[in-house]
Amino acid sequence: MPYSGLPGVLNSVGLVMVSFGLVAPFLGDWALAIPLTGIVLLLLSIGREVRVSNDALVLCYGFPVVFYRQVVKDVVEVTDLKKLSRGRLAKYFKLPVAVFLVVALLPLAYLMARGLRVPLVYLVYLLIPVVVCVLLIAYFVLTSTGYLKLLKRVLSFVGTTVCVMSFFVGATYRSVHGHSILEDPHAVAMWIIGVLLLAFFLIAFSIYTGKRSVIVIEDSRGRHYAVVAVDDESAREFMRVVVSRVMARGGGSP
Amino acid sequence: MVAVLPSRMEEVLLLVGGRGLRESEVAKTLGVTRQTVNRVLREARAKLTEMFLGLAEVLNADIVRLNVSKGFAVLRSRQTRTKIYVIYVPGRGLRAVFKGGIDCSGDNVGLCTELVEAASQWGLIKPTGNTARDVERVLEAMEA
Repeated sequence: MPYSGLPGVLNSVGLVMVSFGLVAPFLGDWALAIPLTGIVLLLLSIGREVRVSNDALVLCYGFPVVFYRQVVKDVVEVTDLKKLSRGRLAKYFKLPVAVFLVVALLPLAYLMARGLRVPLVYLVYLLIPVVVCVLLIAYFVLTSTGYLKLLKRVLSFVGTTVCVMSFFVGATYRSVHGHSILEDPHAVAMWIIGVLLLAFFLIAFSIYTGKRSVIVIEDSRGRHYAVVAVDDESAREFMRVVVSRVMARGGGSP
Repeated sequence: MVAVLPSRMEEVLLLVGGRGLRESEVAKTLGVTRQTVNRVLREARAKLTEMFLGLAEVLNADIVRLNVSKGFAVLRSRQTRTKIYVIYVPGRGLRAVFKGGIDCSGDNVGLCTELVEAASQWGLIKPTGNTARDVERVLEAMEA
Protein backbone atom coordinates (compact mmCIF):
# COMPACT_ATOMS: atom_id res chain seq x y z
CA MET A 1 0.00 0.00 0.00
CA PRO A 2 1.50 3.42 -0.95
CA TYR A 3 1.38 4.79 2.57
CA SER A 4 4.63 6.64 3.29
CA GLY A 5 7.97 7.60 1.78
CA LEU A 6 8.39 7.84 -2.01
CA PRO A 7 5.36 5.61 -2.88
CA GLY A 8 3.18 7.70 -0.55
CA VAL A 9 4.31 10.94 -2.19
CA LEU A 10 3.85 9.53 -5.73
CA ASN A 11 0.39 8.26 -4.84
CA SER A 12 -0.68 11.58 -3.28
CA VAL A 13 0.64 13.69 -6.15
CA GLY A 14 -0.89 11.24 -8.67
CA LEU A 15 -4.34 11.46 -7.05
CA VAL A 16 -4.22 15.27 -6.99
CA MET A 17 -3.08 15.40 -10.64
CA VAL A 18 -5.84 13.05 -11.82
CA SER A 19 -8.45 15.08 -9.91
CA PHE A 20 -6.99 18.38 -11.13
CA GLY A 21 -7.05 17.12 -14.71
CA LEU A 22 -10.82 16.77 -14.49
CA VAL A 23 -11.30 20.47 -13.75
CA ALA A 24 -8.47 21.91 -15.83
CA PRO A 25 -9.49 21.80 -19.50
CA PHE A 26 -8.43 25.47 -19.76
CA LEU A 27 -4.81 24.35 -19.75
CA GLY A 28 -5.05 23.29 -23.37
CA ASP A 29 -2.54 20.59 -24.29
CA TRP A 30 -1.59 20.21 -20.64
CA ALA A 31 -5.16 19.28 -19.75
CA LEU A 32 -4.52 15.73 -20.92
CA ALA A 33 -0.88 15.54 -19.82
CA ILE A 34 -1.73 16.24 -16.17
CA PRO A 35 -4.16 13.36 -15.54
CA LEU A 36 -2.04 10.98 -17.65
CA THR A 37 1.03 11.83 -15.59
CA GLY A 38 -1.11 11.32 -12.49
CA ILE A 39 -2.13 7.85 -13.69
CA VAL A 40 1.53 6.95 -14.33
CA LEU A 41 2.44 8.11 -10.82
CA LEU A 42 -0.44 6.06 -9.36
CA LEU A 43 0.77 2.96 -11.24
CA LEU A 44 4.33 3.51 -10.01
CA SER A 45 3.10 3.72 -6.41
CA ILE A 46 0.99 0.54 -6.42
CA GLY A 47 2.11 -1.95 -3.78
CA ARG A 48 3.02 -5.27 -5.46
CA GLU A 49 4.39 -7.70 -2.92
CA VAL A 50 6.20 -8.13 0.39
CA ARG A 51 9.25 -10.31 0.87
CA VAL A 52 11.29 -11.28 3.88
CA SER A 53 15.00 -11.05 3.19
CA ASN A 54 17.86 -11.17 5.70
CA ASP A 55 15.44 -10.71 8.60
CA ALA A 56 14.08 -7.52 7.02
CA LEU A 57 10.89 -6.77 5.12
CA VAL A 58 11.16 -5.71 1.49
CA LEU A 59 8.10 -3.83 0.20
CA CYS A 60 7.91 -3.74 -3.62
CA TYR A 61 6.02 -1.00 -5.46
CA GLY A 62 5.17 -0.37 -9.13
CA PHE A 63 2.98 -1.78 -11.90
CA PRO A 64 3.57 -3.51 -14.32
CA VAL A 65 7.23 -3.69 -13.21
CA VAL A 66 8.68 -3.15 -9.76
CA PHE A 67 9.77 0.48 -9.65
CA TYR A 68 10.86 0.86 -6.05
CA ARG A 69 11.90 -1.41 -3.19
CA GLN A 70 11.60 -0.26 0.42
CA VAL A 71 13.65 -2.24 2.94
CA VAL A 72 12.15 -2.09 6.43
CA LYS A 73 14.53 -2.99 9.26
CA ASP A 74 14.25 -2.71 13.03
CA VAL A 75 10.50 -3.26 13.19
CA VAL A 76 9.29 -2.28 16.67
CA GLU A 77 5.55 -2.38 16.13
CA VAL A 78 3.07 -4.26 13.96
CA THR A 79 -0.68 -3.61 14.12
CA ASP A 80 -3.70 -5.10 12.39
CA LEU A 81 -5.85 -1.96 12.18
CA LYS A 82 -9.03 -3.86 11.31
CA LYS A 83 -8.99 -5.67 14.65
CA LEU A 84 -8.37 -2.65 16.86
CA SER A 85 -11.55 -1.34 18.44
CA ARG A 86 -10.36 1.89 20.00
CA GLY A 87 -7.73 3.02 17.56
CA ARG A 88 -6.98 6.66 16.90
CA LEU A 89 -7.33 6.44 13.16
CA ALA A 90 -6.16 10.01 12.58
CA LYS A 91 -2.73 8.78 13.63
CA TYR A 92 -2.63 6.30 10.75
CA PHE A 93 -4.44 8.15 7.95
CA LYS A 94 -2.82 11.60 7.96
CA LEU A 95 -1.56 11.50 4.37
CA PRO A 96 -4.75 10.11 2.74
CA VAL A 97 -6.84 12.68 4.64
CA ALA A 98 -4.49 15.50 3.56
CA VAL A 99 -4.78 14.39 -0.08
CA PHE A 100 -8.54 14.20 0.19
CA LEU A 101 -8.64 17.76 1.55
CA VAL A 102 -6.48 19.02 -1.33
CA VAL A 103 -8.82 17.33 -3.83
CA ALA A 104 -11.84 18.84 -2.08
CA LEU A 105 -10.32 22.31 -2.45
CA LEU A 106 -9.56 21.89 -6.18
CA PRO A 107 -12.80 23.53 -7.41
CA LEU A 108 -11.90 26.66 -5.46
CA ALA A 109 -8.34 26.52 -6.80
CA TYR A 110 -9.81 26.26 -10.30
CA LEU A 111 -11.87 29.42 -9.81
CA MET A 112 -8.89 31.29 -8.41
CA ALA A 113 -6.53 30.07 -11.16
CA ARG A 114 -8.93 31.21 -13.88
CA GLY A 115 -9.75 34.43 -12.06
CA LEU A 116 -13.44 33.72 -12.49
CA ARG A 117 -15.99 35.87 -10.76
CA VAL A 118 -18.93 33.69 -9.94
CA PRO A 119 -22.22 34.73 -8.30
CA LEU A 120 -22.10 34.54 -4.53
CA VAL A 121 -24.82 31.89 -4.44
CA TYR A 122 -22.72 29.55 -6.59
CA LEU A 123 -19.70 30.14 -4.39
CA VAL A 124 -21.77 29.18 -1.36
CA TYR A 125 -22.90 26.03 -3.18
CA LEU A 126 -19.28 25.24 -3.85
CA LEU A 127 -18.04 26.04 -0.36
CA ILE A 128 -20.69 24.24 1.68
CA PRO A 129 -19.81 20.71 0.50
CA VAL A 130 -16.08 21.45 0.88
CA VAL A 131 -16.38 22.82 4.42
CA VAL A 132 -18.85 20.14 5.53
CA CYS A 133 -16.67 17.47 3.95
CA VAL A 134 -13.51 18.73 5.66
CA LEU A 135 -15.23 18.97 9.06
CA LEU A 136 -16.88 15.55 8.81
CA ILE A 137 -13.78 13.74 7.62
CA ALA A 138 -11.77 15.37 10.44
CA TYR A 139 -14.53 14.35 12.90
CA PHE A 140 -14.66 10.79 11.59
CA VAL A 141 -10.95 10.10 11.76
CA LEU A 142 -10.72 11.63 15.22
CA THR A 143 -13.69 9.79 16.73
CA SER A 144 -14.19 6.51 14.87
CA THR A 145 -13.30 3.64 17.16
CA GLY A 146 -12.39 1.21 14.41
CA TYR A 147 -11.37 0.94 10.78
CA LEU A 148 -14.65 -0.71 9.67
CA LYS A 149 -16.73 1.85 11.55
CA LEU A 150 -14.82 4.66 9.83
CA LEU A 151 -15.49 3.04 6.46
CA LYS A 152 -19.20 2.65 7.21
CA ARG A 153 -19.55 6.27 8.32
CA VAL A 154 -17.69 7.68 5.31
CA LEU A 155 -19.75 5.61 2.85
CA SER A 156 -23.02 6.60 4.57
CA PHE A 157 -21.94 10.23 4.45
CA VAL A 158 -21.08 10.14 0.74
CA GLY A 159 -24.37 8.37 -0.11
CA THR A 160 -26.46 10.86 1.89
CA THR A 161 -24.61 13.84 0.40
CA VAL A 162 -25.26 12.60 -3.15
CA CYS A 163 -29.01 12.23 -2.41
CA VAL A 164 -29.24 15.72 -0.88
CA MET A 165 -27.13 17.30 -3.61
CA SER A 166 -29.39 15.76 -6.27
CA PHE A 167 -32.29 17.89 -5.02
CA PHE A 168 -30.08 20.99 -5.09
CA VAL A 169 -28.96 20.18 -8.63
CA GLY A 170 -32.59 19.78 -9.71
CA ALA A 171 -33.63 23.06 -8.07
CA THR A 172 -30.64 24.97 -9.49
CA TYR A 173 -31.29 23.57 -12.96
CA ARG A 174 -34.89 24.79 -12.84
CA SER A 175 -33.87 28.27 -11.65
CA VAL A 176 -31.21 28.60 -14.38
CA HIS A 177 -33.07 27.06 -17.35
CA GLY A 178 -36.65 27.79 -16.35
CA HIS A 179 -37.86 24.22 -16.69
CA SER A 180 -37.49 20.88 -14.89
CA ILE A 181 -34.34 18.84 -15.38
CA LEU A 182 -36.64 15.90 -16.20
CA GLU A 183 -37.55 17.65 -19.47
CA ASP A 184 -33.93 17.45 -20.57
CA PRO A 185 -33.16 13.76 -21.33
CA HIS A 186 -29.43 14.40 -21.86
CA ALA A 187 -29.01 16.10 -18.50
CA VAL A 188 -30.99 13.36 -16.74
CA ALA A 189 -28.98 10.65 -18.51
CA MET A 190 -25.70 12.28 -17.45
CA TRP A 191 -26.95 12.57 -13.89
CA ILE A 192 -28.09 8.92 -13.77
CA ILE A 193 -24.80 7.73 -15.27
CA GLY A 194 -22.88 9.79 -12.71
CA VAL A 195 -24.88 8.40 -9.78
CA LEU A 196 -24.61 4.83 -11.10
CA LEU A 197 -20.85 5.18 -11.52
CA LEU A 198 -20.55 6.56 -8.01
CA ALA A 199 -22.74 3.76 -6.61
CA PHE A 200 -20.67 1.16 -8.47
CA PHE A 201 -17.47 2.71 -7.13
CA LEU A 202 -18.81 2.81 -3.55
CA ILE A 203 -20.00 -0.80 -3.67
CA ALA A 204 -16.70 -2.00 -5.14
CA PHE A 205 -14.78 0.12 -2.65
CA SER A 206 -16.74 -1.17 0.35
CA ILE A 207 -16.36 -4.81 -0.73
CA TYR A 208 -12.65 -4.31 -1.44
CA THR A 209 -11.83 -2.48 1.78
CA GLY A 210 -14.27 -4.36 4.01
CA LYS A 211 -12.67 -7.74 3.38
CA ARG A 212 -9.11 -6.53 3.47
CA SER A 213 -6.96 -5.83 6.51
CA VAL A 214 -4.60 -2.91 6.76
CA ILE A 215 -1.46 -3.80 8.69
CA VAL A 216 0.69 -0.92 9.85
CA ILE A 217 4.37 -1.46 10.60
CA GLU A 218 6.59 0.97 12.49
CA ASP A 219 10.37 0.89 12.56
CA SER A 220 12.70 2.13 15.28
CA ARG A 221 13.01 5.51 13.54
CA GLY A 222 9.28 6.07 13.87
CA ARG A 223 8.52 5.56 10.18
CA HIS A 224 5.24 3.89 9.31
CA TYR A 225 4.53 1.50 6.45
CA ALA A 226 1.28 -0.22 5.51
CA VAL A 227 0.53 -3.56 3.92
CA VAL A 228 -2.92 -4.68 2.77
CA ALA A 229 -3.81 -8.34 3.28
CA VAL A 230 -6.52 -9.83 1.05
CA ASP A 231 -8.41 -11.48 3.91
CA ASP A 232 -8.25 -12.25 7.64
CA GLU A 233 -6.30 -15.47 7.14
CA SER A 234 -3.61 -13.72 5.07
CA ALA A 235 -3.46 -10.93 7.66
CA ARG A 236 -2.89 -13.48 10.45
CA GLU A 237 -0.20 -15.22 8.43
CA PHE A 238 1.52 -11.93 7.59
CA MET A 239 1.48 -10.84 11.23
CA ARG A 240 2.98 -14.19 12.21
CA VAL A 241 5.74 -13.87 9.60
CA VAL A 242 6.62 -10.30 10.64
CA VAL A 243 6.72 -11.22 14.32
CA SER A 244 8.54 -14.56 14.04
CA ARG A 245 10.87 -13.90 11.09
CA VAL A 246 11.66 -10.21 11.46
CA MET A 247 11.00 -8.94 14.98
CA ALA A 248 12.09 -12.08 16.82
CA ARG A 249 15.38 -12.13 14.91
CA GLY A 250 16.41 -8.60 15.63
CA GLY A 251 14.92 -7.14 12.46
CA GLY A 252 17.74 -7.05 9.94
CA SER A 253 20.79 -6.33 12.02
CA PRO A 254 23.70 -5.04 9.95
CA MET B 1 11.64 -19.14 26.47
CA VAL B 2 12.89 -16.67 29.09
CA ALA B 3 10.43 -15.39 31.71
CA VAL B 4 12.26 -12.19 32.57
CA LEU B 5 14.75 -10.14 30.59
CA PRO B 6 18.25 -9.46 32.00
CA SER B 7 18.27 -6.21 33.99
CA ARG B 8 20.63 -4.44 31.55
CA MET B 9 18.25 -5.18 28.67
CA GLU B 10 15.27 -3.91 30.67
CA GLU B 11 17.19 -0.78 31.57
CA VAL B 12 18.05 0.02 27.93
CA LEU B 13 14.52 -0.80 26.71
CA LEU B 14 12.93 1.46 29.32
CA LEU B 15 15.33 4.33 28.69
CA VAL B 16 14.67 4.23 24.95
CA GLY B 17 11.01 3.15 24.84
CA GLY B 18 9.75 4.54 28.14
CA ARG B 19 11.69 7.75 28.51
CA GLY B 20 12.28 8.39 24.82
CA LEU B 21 16.05 8.81 25.05
CA ARG B 22 18.23 8.43 21.97
CA GLU B 23 20.76 5.62 21.77
CA SER B 24 23.62 8.11 22.14
CA GLU B 25 22.01 9.57 25.28
CA VAL B 26 21.51 6.09 26.75
CA ALA B 27 25.15 5.28 25.98
CA LYS B 28 26.23 8.40 27.85
CA THR B 29 23.94 7.64 30.78
CA LEU B 30 25.16 4.04 31.12
CA GLY B 31 28.80 4.78 30.27
CA VAL B 32 28.96 2.42 27.29
CA THR B 33 29.35 2.86 23.54
CA ARG B 34 26.41 3.59 21.25
CA GLN B 35 27.12 0.34 19.40
CA THR B 36 26.72 -1.58 22.66
CA VAL B 37 23.38 0.13 23.32
CA ASN B 38 22.25 -0.67 19.77
CA ARG B 39 23.22 -4.32 20.15
CA VAL B 40 21.57 -4.69 23.56
CA LEU B 41 18.44 -2.95 22.27
CA ARG B 42 18.13 -5.30 19.29
CA GLU B 43 18.66 -8.37 21.44
CA ALA B 44 16.21 -7.14 24.05
CA ARG B 45 13.50 -6.44 21.48
CA ALA B 46 14.05 -9.84 19.87
CA LYS B 47 13.79 -11.61 23.24
CA LEU B 48 10.71 -9.61 24.19
CA THR B 49 9.12 -10.58 20.86
CA GLU B 50 9.85 -14.24 21.57
CA MET B 51 8.20 -13.92 24.97
CA PHE B 52 5.02 -12.42 23.49
CA LEU B 53 5.05 -15.00 20.69
CA GLY B 54 5.44 -17.82 23.21
CA LEU B 55 2.52 -16.54 25.29
CA ALA B 56 0.34 -16.20 22.17
CA GLU B 57 1.03 -19.85 21.35
CA VAL B 58 0.29 -20.99 24.90
CA LEU B 59 -3.01 -19.06 24.88
CA ASN B 60 -3.79 -20.22 21.31
CA ALA B 61 -4.20 -16.59 20.27
CA ASP B 62 -3.31 -14.42 17.29
CA ILE B 63 -1.27 -11.27 17.67
CA VAL B 64 -3.36 -8.22 16.76
CA ARG B 65 -0.77 -5.70 17.84
CA LEU B 66 2.77 -6.01 19.11
CA ASN B 67 4.84 -3.06 20.26
CA VAL B 68 8.24 -4.02 21.65
CA SER B 69 9.21 -0.38 22.00
CA LYS B 70 6.46 0.10 24.60
CA GLY B 71 6.51 -3.47 25.94
CA PHE B 72 2.95 -4.56 25.20
CA ALA B 73 0.87 -6.73 22.89
CA VAL B 74 -2.81 -7.20 22.10
CA LEU B 75 -3.77 -10.80 21.36
CA ARG B 76 -7.05 -12.37 20.23
CA SER B 77 -8.08 -15.85 21.25
CA ARG B 78 -8.62 -18.11 18.23
CA GLN B 79 -11.46 -19.95 19.97
CA THR B 80 -13.41 -17.27 21.86
CA ARG B 81 -12.24 -14.20 19.85
CA THR B 82 -11.69 -12.48 23.18
CA LYS B 83 -8.96 -9.88 23.27
CA ILE B 84 -6.09 -10.33 25.68
CA TYR B 85 -3.94 -7.37 26.73
CA VAL B 86 -0.38 -8.26 27.68
CA ILE B 87 2.29 -6.01 29.15
CA TYR B 88 5.85 -6.73 30.20
CA VAL B 89 6.36 -5.84 33.86
CA PRO B 90 10.08 -5.08 34.38
CA GLY B 91 11.71 -7.56 36.74
CA ARG B 92 8.62 -9.78 36.82
CA GLY B 93 7.68 -10.81 33.29
CA LEU B 94 4.49 -10.77 31.23
CA ARG B 95 1.09 -9.99 32.73
CA ALA B 96 -2.16 -10.56 30.82
CA VAL B 97 -5.67 -9.15 31.24
CA PHE B 98 -8.68 -10.42 29.27
CA LYS B 99 -11.08 -7.99 27.61
CA GLY B 100 -13.80 -6.90 29.98
CA GLY B 101 -11.25 -5.52 32.36
CA ILE B 102 -10.29 -6.62 35.81
CA ASP B 103 -11.77 -6.06 39.25
CA CYS B 104 -9.00 -4.20 41.03
CA SER B 105 -9.97 -5.36 44.52
CA GLY B 106 -9.14 -8.29 46.77
CA ASP B 107 -6.51 -10.59 45.28
CA ASN B 108 -6.22 -8.47 42.13
CA VAL B 109 -4.88 -5.33 43.83
CA GLY B 110 -1.27 -6.44 43.33
CA LEU B 111 -1.80 -7.28 39.66
CA CYS B 112 -3.52 -3.95 38.98
CA THR B 113 -0.73 -2.05 40.68
CA GLU B 114 1.87 -3.94 38.63
CA LEU B 115 0.04 -3.16 35.40
CA VAL B 116 -0.21 0.55 36.16
CA GLU B 117 3.41 0.81 37.31
CA ALA B 118 4.65 -1.04 34.23
CA ALA B 119 2.53 1.11 31.89
CA SER B 120 3.94 4.19 33.59
CA GLN B 121 7.51 2.93 33.15
CA TRP B 122 6.87 2.23 29.47
CA GLY B 123 5.42 5.72 29.03
CA LEU B 124 1.94 4.48 28.14
CA ILE B 125 0.08 6.48 30.82
CA LYS B 126 0.70 8.86 33.71
CA PRO B 127 -0.93 7.33 36.80
CA THR B 128 -3.72 9.36 38.41
CA GLY B 129 -3.84 7.44 41.69
CA ASN B 130 -7.15 5.74 40.85
CA THR B 131 -5.83 2.26 40.10
CA ALA B 132 -9.03 0.84 38.56
CA ARG B 133 -9.37 3.82 36.23
CA ASP B 134 -5.66 3.70 35.40
CA VAL B 135 -5.94 0.03 34.39
CA GLU B 136 -8.75 1.00 32.00
CA ARG B 137 -6.53 3.73 30.59
CA VAL B 138 -3.71 1.22 30.10
CA LEU B 139 -6.02 -1.05 28.06
CA GLU B 140 -7.22 1.94 26.03
CA ALA B 141 -3.64 3.02 25.37
CA MET B 142 -2.81 -0.45 24.05
CA GLU B 143 -5.52 -0.08 21.39
CA ALA B 144 -5.01 3.61 20.62
